[in-house]
Amino acid sequence: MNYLAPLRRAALAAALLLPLYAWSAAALPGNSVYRLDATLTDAAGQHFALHDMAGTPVLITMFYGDCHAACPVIIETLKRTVAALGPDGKRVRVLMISLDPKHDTPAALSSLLMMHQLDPAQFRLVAAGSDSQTRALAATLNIKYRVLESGEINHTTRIALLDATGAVLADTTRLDADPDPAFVKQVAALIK
Amino acid sequence: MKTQLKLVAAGLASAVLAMSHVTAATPSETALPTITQELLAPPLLPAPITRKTPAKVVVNLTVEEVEREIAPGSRYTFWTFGGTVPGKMIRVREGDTVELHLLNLPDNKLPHNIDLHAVTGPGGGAAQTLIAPGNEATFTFKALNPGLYVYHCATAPVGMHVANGMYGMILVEPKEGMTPVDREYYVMQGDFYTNGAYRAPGLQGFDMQKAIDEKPTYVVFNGADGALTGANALTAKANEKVRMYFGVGGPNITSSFHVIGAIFDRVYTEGGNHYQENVQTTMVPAGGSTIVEFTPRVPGNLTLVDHSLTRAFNKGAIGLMAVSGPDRPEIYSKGIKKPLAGAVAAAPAAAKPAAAAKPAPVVADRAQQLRGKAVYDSNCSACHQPDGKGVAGVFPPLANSDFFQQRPYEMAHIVLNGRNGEIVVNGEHYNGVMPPQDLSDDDIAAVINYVGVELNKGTPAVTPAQVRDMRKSRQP
Amino acid sequence: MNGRAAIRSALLTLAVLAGDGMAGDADYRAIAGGTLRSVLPADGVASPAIVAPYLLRTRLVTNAEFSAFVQHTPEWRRGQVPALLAAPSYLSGWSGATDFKPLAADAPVVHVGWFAAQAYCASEGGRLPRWYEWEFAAAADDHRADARDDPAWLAHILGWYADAGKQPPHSVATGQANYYGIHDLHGLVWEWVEDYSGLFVNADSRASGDQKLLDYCGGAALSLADRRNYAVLMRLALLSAMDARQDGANLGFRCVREPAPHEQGPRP
Repeated sequence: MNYLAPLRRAALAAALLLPLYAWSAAALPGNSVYRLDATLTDAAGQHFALHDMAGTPVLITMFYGDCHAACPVIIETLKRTVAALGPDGKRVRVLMISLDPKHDTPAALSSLLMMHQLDPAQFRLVAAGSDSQTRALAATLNIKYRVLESGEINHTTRIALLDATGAVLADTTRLDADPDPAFVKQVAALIK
Repeated sequence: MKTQLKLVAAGLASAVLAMSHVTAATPSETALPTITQELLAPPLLPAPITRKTPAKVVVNLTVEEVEREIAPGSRYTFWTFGGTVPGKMIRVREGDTVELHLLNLPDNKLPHNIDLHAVTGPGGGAAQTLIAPGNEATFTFKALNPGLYVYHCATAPVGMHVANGMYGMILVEPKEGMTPVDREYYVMQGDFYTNGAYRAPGLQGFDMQKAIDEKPTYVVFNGADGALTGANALTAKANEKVRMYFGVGGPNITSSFHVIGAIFDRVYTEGGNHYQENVQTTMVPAGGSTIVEFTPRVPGNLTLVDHSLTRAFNKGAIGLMAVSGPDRPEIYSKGIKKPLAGAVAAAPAAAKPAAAAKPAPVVADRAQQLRGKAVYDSNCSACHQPDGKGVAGVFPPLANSDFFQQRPYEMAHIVLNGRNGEIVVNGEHYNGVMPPQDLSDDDIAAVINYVGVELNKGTPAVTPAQVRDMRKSRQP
Repeated sequence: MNGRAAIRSALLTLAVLAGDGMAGDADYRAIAGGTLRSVLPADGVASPAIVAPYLLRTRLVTNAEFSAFVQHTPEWRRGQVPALLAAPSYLSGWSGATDFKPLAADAPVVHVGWFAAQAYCASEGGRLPRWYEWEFAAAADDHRADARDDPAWLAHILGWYADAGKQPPHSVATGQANYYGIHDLHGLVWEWVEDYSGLFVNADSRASGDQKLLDYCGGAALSLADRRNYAVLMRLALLSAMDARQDGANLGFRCVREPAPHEQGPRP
């Protein structure tokens, strides 16, 4: 396990040191979430860069698989948010990033998709490459989290709405299966 | 455990109310006029409220960490709301909506927040307002209850933040307003814990052990030993109705609040609705307040104290209110003293100077000169004037004074013991009363030498050791 | 095992892997780790933390070192960093994007946000320390591994707060190193940690336990275990008030490296 550590370190060094390759880098505003270099792995085992999500509106949040308190509620509220948007809802993509990359392997993410009956075309459950990267993603999204000895993770809740360039247009910290109507309105306005 | 959590979560999820980040203005809010709170440095406070309808009051309160004197010659790093200890007073009306902006200035070192006792809700605002230097937090609450409430910082470690001066008060006037008075003042008592002793010179640090043991070095009003004395004394005219908003920031000490020479006509106990009448001393808990009203009738100095007396006389819990007006001998007379018939008149307790020999030359010392000036400014200049000219016929001059130049040693004695009776200075007769000064040996030597060098172009004449001997040899 | 030789070879390995010439100069010391009776209990209630072995940079990162870093990596220069990753006050004491004058070359670099600090540490083949790693090393004074029960030592650390901190910080390593050979864990600047956002002190520091379960997802949030240690409580309070892109006039950092596999030594 440890021999991977230096490689991971080099990868992290590369990720943080190398300039952002121009996916229309000029089009990304300075406060775009996509300015953070991060490599994500989804439930299908596919690797991609965070900035590959640019181009469509995205609902972004963080969770972890072994979570049985808030996370099921977050997933439910996301499903209902998308449903509330009607047919336009297809234009929004949902990105859920794991707080626990060690345990949320592609296989684990895949079974979560099934368990919650999420459409993988729209809902992307992903994990970053390392704890440091996960921490950087949480920092960008203003999510606080703490890993306890038991493996349980205490974390705050935040769902952010990103426009096509990755700027945060709205967010909600409300934890309720029924989405915040004001937030839904803002998503609807964006995807029109 | 996990199943339990699932059930609890399911139950809570459906029942939990929105902690919504997206807030919408309520219809009544949009109709409220917006007022910006005027903030004044204590002991002043905003004027009484005259409006009869609710408003939204915007308060912009900074947090400033500043180093300044806690006692003459003794410095401390205070953490303050608005740059003052206590923090500036907020004054609103019952039912107002307060929009508080807390600004942690960028050159501060520490994070801070605020808990206002006027807030109804968990933490009193502390959780919503924790900010690092260079940031601003906004928190809105409704002042549901009238009263006089303390506010203070609640960042860990709370005892230290409060011990460094982070407290103030918010007055929520009742809907019907308060009865008019002629003068209002804002005073808070606090306890301070320093590594050094009382009035030790130089920059003092916070002493955590003394704080935990509740053994303060200073117990003072408005953040400094001498904050309400000398040139900073409160003032009033005889027959004016005075109201004092008095609170205790703590962190630990409860005050036995008393004004020597006055009786409280009304005490709104603990800052609440009901008042007691004709009170001498009222107890104010740490984190609590009181509103007192009294009417001075005769001229002179009224002294604010914590009547736990060694706090007043050894730790600084003393303030003055200078009352001006005509004498009222029928209410308050000057005393007359005479010897008992038949008793041998006791010699006046003028102790002879201990050494007849000329003392060894005293070395001029820059630190002592600065200290002497500080002592002079706080203790002597009120009467003898900052330039030492005195007041013709009333207070003798100290500058260019033949009396001083001829007998500096006796001057030290006068400062230590006081002096009644006639003296002649520069050819003028003076017949007043000089009260003894509560100063340390070092301070007396320092101030005499300051007067000698700066105001009389002479040389230092007195050492602290000589003052100590003088003190020891006087009759008890 | 000879600590110094081990460190040297570790440094060499890491320098090669990180592929960046700057990693060679900084001094990192091996710290064996162990159990830590922390101010933040590891289970949220009372249990001690277990700290795995790590290598800690003996000195805070200085202005000169950070200047060399931004010269090599222009995307971290003031004016070029995207707003997502740095605040307008980033390196505000410096006269130019790579010029740290009028600040001292060997004073700790301040006005650096979390992202920039992590990037610097990555350039040295490491990362920011985690809170427990910092607390573990900071429990030591100059001759004991754990001085926290000594009230005189606690009082001495608190002395830093008597200074209102209006001047830029002075040079690093002017005093004695602590038991582990580390300088300036106390008395100079605050320091970033990697998990600053997990310190979860309830911003109202007087609250204990009783939080809505869902606020922090099961978080019986942190009841602070040792309220006597005012100096550490203040560090926690500051870090939990920070956002990653923010910086501060009194906030600097140092780095940690994982020990190479042959470095780990016996388990504590």
